[in-house]
Amino acid sequence: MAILKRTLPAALAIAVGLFVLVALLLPVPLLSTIGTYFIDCAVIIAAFALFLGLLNVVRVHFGHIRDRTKTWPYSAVLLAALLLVFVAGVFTLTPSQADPSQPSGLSHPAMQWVFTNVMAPLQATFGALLAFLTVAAAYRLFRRRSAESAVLLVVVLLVLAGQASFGLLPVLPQLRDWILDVPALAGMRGILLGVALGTVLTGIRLLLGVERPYSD
Amino acid sequence: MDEIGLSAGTVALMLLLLILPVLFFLTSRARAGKSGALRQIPGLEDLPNSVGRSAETSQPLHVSVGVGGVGGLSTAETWTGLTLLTQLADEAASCDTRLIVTVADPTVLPIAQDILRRASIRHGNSDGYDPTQVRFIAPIPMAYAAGVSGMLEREPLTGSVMVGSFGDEYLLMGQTGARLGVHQVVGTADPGTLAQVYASADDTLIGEDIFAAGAYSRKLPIQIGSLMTEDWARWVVAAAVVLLAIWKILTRA
Repeated sequence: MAILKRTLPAALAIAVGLFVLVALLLPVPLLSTIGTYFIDCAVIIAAFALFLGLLNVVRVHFGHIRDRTKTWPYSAVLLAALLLVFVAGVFTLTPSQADPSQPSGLSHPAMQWVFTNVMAPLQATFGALLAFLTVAAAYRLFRRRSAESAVLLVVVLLVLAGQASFGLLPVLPQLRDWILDVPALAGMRGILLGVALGTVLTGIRLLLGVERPYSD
Repeated sequence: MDEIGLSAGTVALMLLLLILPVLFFLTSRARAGKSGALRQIPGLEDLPNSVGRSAETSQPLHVSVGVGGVGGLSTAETWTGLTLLTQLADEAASCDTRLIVTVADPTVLPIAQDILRRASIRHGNSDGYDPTQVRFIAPIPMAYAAGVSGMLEREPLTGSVMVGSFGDEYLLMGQTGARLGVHQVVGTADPGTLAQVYASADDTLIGEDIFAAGAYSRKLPIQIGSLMTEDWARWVVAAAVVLLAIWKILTRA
């Protein structure tokens, strides 16, 4: 049983992973075709995961309503909205028989209305909040009174002054460009170099089957 | 890469073939106990304390593995988040503490649930596992951040460990946590987001620090060997960059 539950799935995962890697690295058409097939299979399996996500949302929020937690009214609104959009999505999934040229699915006017009038404004609202949150985060950072915070404060002020110098001091935009192009870019590239190496080695460990949080 | 007549795939294959022997050599040294001590990363060393604080206050600890999923460009970052979740789940199960895990990508949901379930079984408390401890919030990053912020506001939490792929939306969660006094350990690989993380989190895991999580928690020889390989490779790349720069200056002159 241990072979069926642990060894076989791990061996399959490692074999398929290595095959897809080789197919990506070597320009052999047959390998590439089979590799693409495996990736397509993974995409289909991932689509099923979305259904699991939906069930999880229903279960968590239904639990809030059942237990009458403090947030149960929000959960009720969420489930009602979910049901409404789900039903609208199902009914608009296929083209109308009377007029097959009418858009269906996500292009249907009802679904578009939800995205344009509910989703987009909400996302834009939260996006707009980020500007104020950045100022609040900067203020919190400067209150720490550490050397790093002081350096950050000076750099931020110089870049801001360079951004809004209104041509009064031509050296400020030049200083801003130098800060962004030399020390900031160098630091960013250093971080990205470490991240790239870390990603490659994590991938190797995964393919070798060493790191498997999904099994004992 | 076309300038030197090599495809990206060939270069990647060459790099892989160069890295693999070094990895195996350094792993064998780690197995023989010749790897030396790991440098201190305060954020990773503080993680057991996060669970401890949660156990003392009887309040759950929030864990996020980022807005990425398994199978996309951010797989490695998400995977490090899941590796950390394994460590936290074990520690939480051993002291009967509750974790609340939020995910933004449905592919991570069953993996995270399985990690918590296995941790409960390993510590002889299979009844302690509750599948709703893992919550799928929303697949859109901004909606996910809004959902997590709301959860931080409404539910009593002692800490928040967020390691994985995050973008600008992080600030929404990070600032909410900081305002409420929730102890936050945050790590991500995106340099743009790191500035925001540094400003709002108590402990920051900068870039490659997040990939070291496994080596610090499980201390397997291959994980330590992998960390040393990363260090060596970084020195080699840095030396190559300097030498190429000098060569370019000399040939231009």
